[in-house]
Amino acid sequence: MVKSPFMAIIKPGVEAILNACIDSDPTGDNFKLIFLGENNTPDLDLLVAQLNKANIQFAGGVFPGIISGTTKSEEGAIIINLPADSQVHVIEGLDSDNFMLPQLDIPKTDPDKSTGLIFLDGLTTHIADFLWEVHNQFGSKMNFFGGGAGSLSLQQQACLISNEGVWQDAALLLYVPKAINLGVAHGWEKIIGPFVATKTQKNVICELNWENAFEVYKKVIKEDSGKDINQENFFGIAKGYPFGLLNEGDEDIVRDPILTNENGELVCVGDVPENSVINILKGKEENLVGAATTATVSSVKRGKGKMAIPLVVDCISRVLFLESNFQAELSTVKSTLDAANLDEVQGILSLGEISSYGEGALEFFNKTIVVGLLEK
Amino acid sequence: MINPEIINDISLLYELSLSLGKSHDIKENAGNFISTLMRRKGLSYASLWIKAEKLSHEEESGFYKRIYAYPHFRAGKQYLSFSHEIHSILEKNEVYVVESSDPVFQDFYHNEGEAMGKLAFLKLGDVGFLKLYSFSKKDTLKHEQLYKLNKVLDQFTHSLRACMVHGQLKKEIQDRKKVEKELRTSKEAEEQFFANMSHEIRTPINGMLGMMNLMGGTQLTEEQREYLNDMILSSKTLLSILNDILDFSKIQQGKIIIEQVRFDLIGRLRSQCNMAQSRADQGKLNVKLDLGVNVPQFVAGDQFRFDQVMNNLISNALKFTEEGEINIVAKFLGEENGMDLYLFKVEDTGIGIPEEKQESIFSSFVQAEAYTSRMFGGTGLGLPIVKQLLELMGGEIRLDSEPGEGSSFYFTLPLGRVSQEAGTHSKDRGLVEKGSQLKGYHILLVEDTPMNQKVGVRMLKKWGAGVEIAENGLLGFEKCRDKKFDLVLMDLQMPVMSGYEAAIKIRNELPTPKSKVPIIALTAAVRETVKRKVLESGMDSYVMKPFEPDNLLGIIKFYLMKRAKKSLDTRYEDQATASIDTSYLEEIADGDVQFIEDMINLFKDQAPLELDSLGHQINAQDWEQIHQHTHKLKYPYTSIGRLDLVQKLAVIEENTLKSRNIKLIQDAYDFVKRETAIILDQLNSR
Repeated sequence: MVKSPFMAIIKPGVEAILNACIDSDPTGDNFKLIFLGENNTPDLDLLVAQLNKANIQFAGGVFPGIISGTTKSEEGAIIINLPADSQVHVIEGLDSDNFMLPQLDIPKTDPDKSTGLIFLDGLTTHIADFLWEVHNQFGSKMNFFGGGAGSLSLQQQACLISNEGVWQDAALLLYVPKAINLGVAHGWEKIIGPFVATKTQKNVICELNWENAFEVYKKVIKEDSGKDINQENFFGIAKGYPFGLLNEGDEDIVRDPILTNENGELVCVGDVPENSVINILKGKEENLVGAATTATVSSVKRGKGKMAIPLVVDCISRVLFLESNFQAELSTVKSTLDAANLDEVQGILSLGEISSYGEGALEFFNKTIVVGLLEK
Repeated sequence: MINPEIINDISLLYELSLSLGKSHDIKENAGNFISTLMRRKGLSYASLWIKAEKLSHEEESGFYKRIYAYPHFRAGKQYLSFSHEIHSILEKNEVYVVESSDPVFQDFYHNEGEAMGKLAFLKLGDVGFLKLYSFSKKDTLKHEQLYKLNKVLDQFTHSLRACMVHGQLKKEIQDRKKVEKELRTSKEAEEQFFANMSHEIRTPINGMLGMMNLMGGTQLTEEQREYLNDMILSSKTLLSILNDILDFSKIQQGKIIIEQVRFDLIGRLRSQCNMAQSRADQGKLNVKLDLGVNVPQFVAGDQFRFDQVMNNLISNALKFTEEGEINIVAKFLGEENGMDLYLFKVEDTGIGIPEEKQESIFSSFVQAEAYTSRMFGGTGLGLPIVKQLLELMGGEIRLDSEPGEGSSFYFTLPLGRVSQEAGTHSKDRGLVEKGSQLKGYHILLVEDTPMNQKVGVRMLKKWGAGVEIAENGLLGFEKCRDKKFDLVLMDLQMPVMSGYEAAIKIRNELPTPKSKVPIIALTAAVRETVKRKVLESGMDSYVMKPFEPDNLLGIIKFYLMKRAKKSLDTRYEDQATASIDTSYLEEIADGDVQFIEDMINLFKDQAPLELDSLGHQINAQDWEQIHQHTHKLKYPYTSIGRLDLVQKLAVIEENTLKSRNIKLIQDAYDFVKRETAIILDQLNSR
């Protein structure tokens, strides 16, 4: 029997987390999914050692923030009980140019009735290659849900944990023997485009329309907002002007520019294929909150009233954009779930979101909210 | 305001067009196109099906083969017969869209897990089709939407055709290379087998012969002695056949190294003649030697191979001549390309060879008549070996023969001119008579050590050559690129660029004829690895430092002559002269001439015995004894200044400890023995 998640944010500290794991599951039957906020993070090696000592099976990571119901926090922990027979794969070396995904075991239970939870180092390269290969091996036989771990400081560091240790430049793939129903939306809308990303290198846009990418981007922002964007204020302004990869019949797939380098190239979270056609998007608060409703409604509809653990992966940049109104996003998620008699949502504020897009290809999103109802 | 749908369509065509032609590999090319299409249209699955006969000429026709699919987990069946309805549908339609629940396609898609959603089939000319599947309700697989892709699908089809042609060509080239490699490996293995087998058999026969000779020294009855003599004769015959096989194999593998040694030509001819006379039937057959007026006593060349050629021809003459005469003739023909050219003949009054067989007699394993093999024995390798050895030495062989009248084998051979003073060590005395022998030739000396530069320039200039110096390999290469030289002398270890690298660059980067310039390496080391590297880097030969004038001149003249004749690619080894250097003894003797004389006499007495004994130990593969014996033998050879032979002994010594390569040991031993015989010959004629 899967227990309900521990319905509160636990204070930071190894002992508090250990006690919460035991308290939430006194018989120790369940697998623990542990989300940690990036502030006041406990010593991860010590945490792993203590959890192993207590024979607790677990996986998780450190994220820019954690969510429980309508509360978000940059510190503390959330523990979610998952079925005991959940399996963890650690895939290392995503930064390597020679990265190859090994052939993974098939889940012990029917993939149709399983979920793949993916938590990866959100600042690693080759995320697209990794997801492409995962999809190649499983496709839409199994739904996937997850997000990018790491720090909002954008400094790559060890951010994933499992019984096997602490990981950086890696991905954790968990097979959970329960189905998940997903809803994905972002609410960002095109203000100008299309542009052609005439030169890119993985997650770096070097040229837009055969011109220096930053120069083109700067001009668009100046025209729209009257603001001069530069290296210093880049993050603060760019969080409101992401890129959108055209996606026929659906919302654009968002790519979030997080910094510009000395060559005037734009570094994004997630790959931008060379020669892809992209728009520059802009957010309106009501659209973003509306998208949170859409995503939650979609997942509830797909869930068809089944008992479920509601999970959310919400992009940290939505928090940065919505600021105090982010509360409205969490509230709409809560009220939609309440209406469906579901528990409060638990989840993370992430560096990139992962979902199999309802039923399509496995995709890495930015600035997006993914709601998943993991069947109990 | 531009219609967003138009923007979407144009940008899709743009992205798809640019995804094409990035690779010659059909899967990679298809992958780039399909992944772009899938991303833009949010597709769940796509696969590419090509008509099998288009993929390869070897494939059967009548079905499609799936060559790409994403995600792969969906890819069920790999082949689809033309009898499937989709084949006839695509004969009439460019695009065909169907609900995946359509029962007509159940067998096709159910294996691939497409229970609901839409399927689209896009015809790719006469090549095959693209299958797309969308599980989503976004409805991106509308017929009219897909129809807009026609032009880019044509491009995709062309790129697939190009990939297939490229793939077929690549496969053909790979297949051809594989066959060539297999042939080469098989030939090498065959040659190696010959060499190994011959060697393995020769070793015990040598041992048997040794034991039989020892037995001959014991008390035997007349009958026993007769049997023993028969055994010795049979063993020698067998040994001779094996030696032929071994030599032939070495020639085939390019492992014969032609030496440049000062030797007594007239002495060798007389010796051959005497031996032949002793083997001939005294009553019926005379062996005569006819020496031309200008044939000198001493020449420079490969004495061992010269003996082998003469011995082979004389043996043949003896074998096929019952009565009459065998004439051995030597004539000086004159100078040609800086070398002295000689004519040698072996004439007999034997059975002769029919005209139609005269050409093939020099081919491997061919004898004039089948019965000759039965009657006279032999492998049929003797004459091919003679021909190839002569070619390696820059000579040519011909045959005149009349059945019943006799045969005349005659060959030309270039030999070097050397001092005619008996028993001398060449050294600088030779320089006096060598003046202007290289007149008109332009030689590049690539050498970084000033002292070696001076010595080299002095010698070359004395011989009349024009000399230029380059201080390292790179400068040497540049000089060869900018000027024409007749020959290059190349040091190996130099700053900036080594001699090996420079030789490789000259051979690979310069145009003909500059890339063909003879290159002689100058080396202080005689290790096998150095020799191999020299030859592998494209150099023709090498000579030991410090330079021995006779050797250096001999090799230079040989290669200048070879170049002039555009003859065979003969490889020369640096050559120790078959003489001794008593400077070491003189130093120790401190004026005591008797001491030197005693030491030389000691060497004369001991060396043959010690070498015989070492030979038996090698046959018995008694490693410990070989090691000790070889070590002991190094001193006598050091004392007579034959460091090259000391090196050979070191090879034996080293091999007894490590790899125990019996072939290397035997070769080194044979070399030492052969050189020792020459030294003793010279010492005895003093």
